[in-house]
Amino acid sequence: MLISTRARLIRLALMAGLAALGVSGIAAAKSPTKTKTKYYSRQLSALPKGVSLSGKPYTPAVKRLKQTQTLTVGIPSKLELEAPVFLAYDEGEFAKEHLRINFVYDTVPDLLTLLGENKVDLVYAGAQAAVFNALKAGVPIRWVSGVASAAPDSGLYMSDKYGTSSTFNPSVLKGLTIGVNPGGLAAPSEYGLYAALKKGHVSPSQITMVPFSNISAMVSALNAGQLQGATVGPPYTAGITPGTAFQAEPGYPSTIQIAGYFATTNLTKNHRAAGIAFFQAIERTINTYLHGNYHKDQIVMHLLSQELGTTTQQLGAAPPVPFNLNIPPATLPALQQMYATVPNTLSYSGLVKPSQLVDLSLVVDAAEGQ
Amino acid sequence: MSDTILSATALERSFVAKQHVVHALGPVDIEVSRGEFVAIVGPSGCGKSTLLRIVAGLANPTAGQIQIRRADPLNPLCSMVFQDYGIFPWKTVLANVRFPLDIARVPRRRANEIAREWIERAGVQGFESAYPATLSGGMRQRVAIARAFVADPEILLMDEPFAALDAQLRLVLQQELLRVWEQSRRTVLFVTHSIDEALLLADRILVTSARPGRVLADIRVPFSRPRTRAVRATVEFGQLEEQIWQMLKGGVEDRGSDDAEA
Amino acid sequence: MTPRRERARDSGAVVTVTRAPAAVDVDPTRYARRRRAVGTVLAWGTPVLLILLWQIAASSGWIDVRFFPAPATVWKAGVAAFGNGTMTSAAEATIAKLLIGYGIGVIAGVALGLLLGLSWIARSSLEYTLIALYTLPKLALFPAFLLIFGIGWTPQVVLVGVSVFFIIVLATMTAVVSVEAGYRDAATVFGANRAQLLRHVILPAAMPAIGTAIRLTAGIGILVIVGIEMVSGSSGLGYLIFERAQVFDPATMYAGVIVAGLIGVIFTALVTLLLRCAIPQQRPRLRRR
Repeated sequence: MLISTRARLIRLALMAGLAALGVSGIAAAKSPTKTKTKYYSRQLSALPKGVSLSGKPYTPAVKRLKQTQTLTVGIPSKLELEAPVFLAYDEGEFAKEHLRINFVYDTVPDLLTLLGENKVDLVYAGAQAAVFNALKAGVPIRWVSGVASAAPDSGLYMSDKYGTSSTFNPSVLKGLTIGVNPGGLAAPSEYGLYAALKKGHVSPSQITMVPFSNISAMVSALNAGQLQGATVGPPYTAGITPGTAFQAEPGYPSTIQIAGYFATTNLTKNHRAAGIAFFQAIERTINTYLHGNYHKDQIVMHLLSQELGTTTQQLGAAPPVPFNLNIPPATLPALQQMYATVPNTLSYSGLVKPSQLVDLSLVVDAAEGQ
Repeated sequence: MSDTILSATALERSFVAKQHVVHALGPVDIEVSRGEFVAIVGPSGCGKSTLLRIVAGLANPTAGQIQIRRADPLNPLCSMVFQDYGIFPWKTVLANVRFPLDIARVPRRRANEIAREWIERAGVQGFESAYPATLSGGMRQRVAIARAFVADPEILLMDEPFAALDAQLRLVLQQELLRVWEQSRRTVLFVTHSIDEALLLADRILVTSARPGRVLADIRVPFSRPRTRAVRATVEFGQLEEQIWQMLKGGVEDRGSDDAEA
Repeated sequence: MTPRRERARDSGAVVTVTRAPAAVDVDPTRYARRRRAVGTVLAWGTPVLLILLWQIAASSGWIDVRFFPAPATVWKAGVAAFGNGTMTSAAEATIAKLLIGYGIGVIAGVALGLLLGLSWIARSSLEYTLIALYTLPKLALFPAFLLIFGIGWTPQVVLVGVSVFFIIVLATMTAVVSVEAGYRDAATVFGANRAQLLRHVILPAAMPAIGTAIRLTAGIGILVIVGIEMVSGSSGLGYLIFERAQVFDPATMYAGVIVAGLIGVIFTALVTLLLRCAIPQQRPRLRRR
């Protein structure tokens, strides 16, 4: 009886070994070959002179990857700012490049963790303090594209008691209760509030910030007068009862970028072709369908309203988004200044330089058709 | 010269169970004199406990009535010793025995004194601050007896108080009960299964039939007081025991039969 | 045993069975003391062992310390958070909200539960309504709380109170209704009126079951307050945990989680101790019998 058990064990070991070989063989076959990049295989922390990220419709031209590859993209919300990736998917622009896209929906901190563990290739997010802290903690994170040169209609909204857009004096913020997005001044979506505080020489510790994970509830509280102000953006701005609040400070100036796509060096170094293909599709989508006043294009509006789960009327209530994938050089110093005003937000001292975080080489390679 | 303390006339009790009427007790006619120790002996389910509960006021008859003539309205009317003790596990022995006095709003210090006396008489001295969970069955029943006596009620009701105890403990507690009762000579209604217990303790024995419970016989116990265990050895004891047993045997053997003898 | 005995019988040898004292019989006090010592070592040692394993996993790279920090890092972050006051104020806020909400829930629950237990009219009217409300997820109603009570501590305290209240009221009602008839009869025979019945019999008889419910809801209170702080408001340990995750500071986040857990353990232990004193037959005995 003992002899046959040993034989059985040997048989099991052989089968396990074969299975392991088989699995590793499949894995080897699946990993893409390294493609040589043409121009900007090194990191680009700023847009080179003479390079433009926008172009004529139907450019950059379809390139097609040699083998179909899959990219997993993390999405935290469904706002109009994220329209390019959804529209590209719906119009088949990724398929044209032989790129398969899996979407993962989760919160930004979770998505950053997944990114760090290489379970997700790209994450759309705001350039929150978490990104900087993760970089300093050893996650090789890279900010690979911006989103827009402005977020129309978003920013700090104040109750009508405090004036109008043209007459607002930010020093009145002292002692008020302001609704903010979760994370408060650790997220760049609140840059409008920060800019107003700076203008009015009010420190964040002199106001009461109330975080709301449910933005509709925050707008209701603003309407009801429980909040004296709130940082809101479309489509939630449509919920503000007319005559109760005005926009006191825009979301952010065009000299900085606050959001975009984040990846790790795993994508920018090891899977460049897939990354470039992704942004080729994105840029082509923006150039073709999302340029100028695309709110007039009924087909695009219909597709967007379906994908974002809203109505064309709600989408049309705010101006169209001026999509722009650039990350201006003033961005990192401005954001880190904002995060530094609240203690315990940044886990490090000193400043992160663009060369450590920003890498525009993927979007530039995509635009230049390389 | 004995005066009647309790008289039951045409007393009946029925209740409804699963769509048919169960005739538990009656009709019975009973008269009890003040100071009498009356034992009620009968088979299970003949309504003995029901009779006691009606006297205690825990249940009402469905026909007939009981009249109780009170001589001393300042004292409570009755107190009861239950088969499964009925003493409160959340009170100490002292608090349990003192309970009827607390209900009667006797001042605490006086109540404690009286309670301690009865604790001593019942033989549980030294356990005043113990909780019932730490006491044996016999001790708990002594506490129950002490509690029943402490209020000095006009009628003492005992519903098979020694049924859950072992034979030797029973004998001891029977003696204790007699000793304690001799001191106050209150009226007692004592329900039991045990014929020899009834003969030992009581002045009068009411032999009841099986359901519906009716009085088969009303036997006067001839032995003199104070009673000792010596009465067990007498010839009359054995004869009475046999006599009562014959009366009960029919009821016990065809329990559940509908024609009970009058 | 049997095969050996049969074999012995076959061979004709005589087998003797011996009953001799074991360690527990030779010196029972020493045996009991040693057993208690082993029990204490196991009780304290298991968490220490787990923390040690965690540290080893972190140091040897089995877990990614960028996202799951080592215990030493979490300890340092926790000490720093207490040092700069953020953890202290968060813990104070959570404890305060918990005590107020839990206290109100328990008192209201016991009071209404007693009423329902004693009055069949109240019970018939309210019992099924309360059961229906009890099964409703209170978290879904929280936006309504925000509208009614505003933002800040009040809606959170109300949520804790409500969550605790429904459990306590139903448990108390059941406990009162289940007081054995024998105890009620005993008191009634001795002439107790309703108030005396309540004080001497019903309340003490129902206390053990009520105490169990109170002890269980202590844990539920912690869960609810930390939970709601994670999704709403800007105070307390839940908010600290959430906010530290937002900023990518896992060390302080886990420190907050551990502090919340410790508060839960200590709070439940305190409640259990208080209840033991309130239930006479379970009071810790000072004298050995």
